[in-house]
Amino acid sequence: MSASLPDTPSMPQRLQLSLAPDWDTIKATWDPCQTYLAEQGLDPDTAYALGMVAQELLENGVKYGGFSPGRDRILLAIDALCDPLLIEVRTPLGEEAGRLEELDAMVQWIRGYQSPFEAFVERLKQISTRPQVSTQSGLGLVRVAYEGQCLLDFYVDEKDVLAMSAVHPNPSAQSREG
Amino acid sequence: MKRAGGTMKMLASGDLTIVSDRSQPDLVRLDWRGRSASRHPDDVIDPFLTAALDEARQNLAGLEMHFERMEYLNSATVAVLVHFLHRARLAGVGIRFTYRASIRWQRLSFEALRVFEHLDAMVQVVPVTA
Repeated sequence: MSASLPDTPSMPQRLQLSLAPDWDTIKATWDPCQTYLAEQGLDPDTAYALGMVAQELLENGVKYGGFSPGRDRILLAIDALCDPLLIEVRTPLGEEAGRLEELDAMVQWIRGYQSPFEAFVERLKQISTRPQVSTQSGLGLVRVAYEGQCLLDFYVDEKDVLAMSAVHPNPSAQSREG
Repeated sequence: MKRAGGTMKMLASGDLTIVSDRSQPDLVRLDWRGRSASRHPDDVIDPFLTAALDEARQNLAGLEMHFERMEYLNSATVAVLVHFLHRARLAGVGIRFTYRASIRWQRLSFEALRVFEHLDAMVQVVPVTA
């Protein structure tokens, strides 16, 4: 894991991590994310929820990514000073057919619910009656919307890099305005 | 799986520990601690949970899972829990999850699981305040 906090030491604005696409590396980002979010003045509950969001997006980055020499990193960026607060994960897009359509369908499915709680509960019900537990349950993205209280989006750039983002109203910015 | 004592068994995997306590004849109690964030949690957790479910069914006991000391569950683990909850119901084993309501992420995650309480009396998802 390589990290950069490119701004002045007294006021880091953006956390950026370049990560090997493996599970242990992803898990190890929890502490730096929590440290960064706490330094930006977020309360522990919000920092925890956003740390969960980063973890779930990174897990999806591994699942949806296609890695090869020169295209073997996942990038995590968190900007906790902008409003809304932004968490973005960028991963080289895999060539497996249909994955992007799956992701699009999941994001649209979540947006189809008036409340993320309803979407989360519906997903739990679907999972409960499946014959087997699947790692492709889609629950992580629904959790980003429900527990993380984030809006989800994604796009693919001209270099076939998939960028998944979650935005959250920034409590620090709102308290500054208030 | 480690045997921690006459009535206790323990699963330790990475940052996750689950201790199974059979000291009460009518109850199999599982205490979860730490963090569960593996990519395939069912590979590790499911055999332990299945053994606990079999034990409960054979002894006409209930199953109680305590999550108050959990620090993190990834969505894959939540999926395993939901799936297991359904299996316990089908097996006719009463199951109770307890969580700490004062911890926001636990409250959000487990309140959603209360939807399964409405199916029948086999499932309870209970907040604890202490």
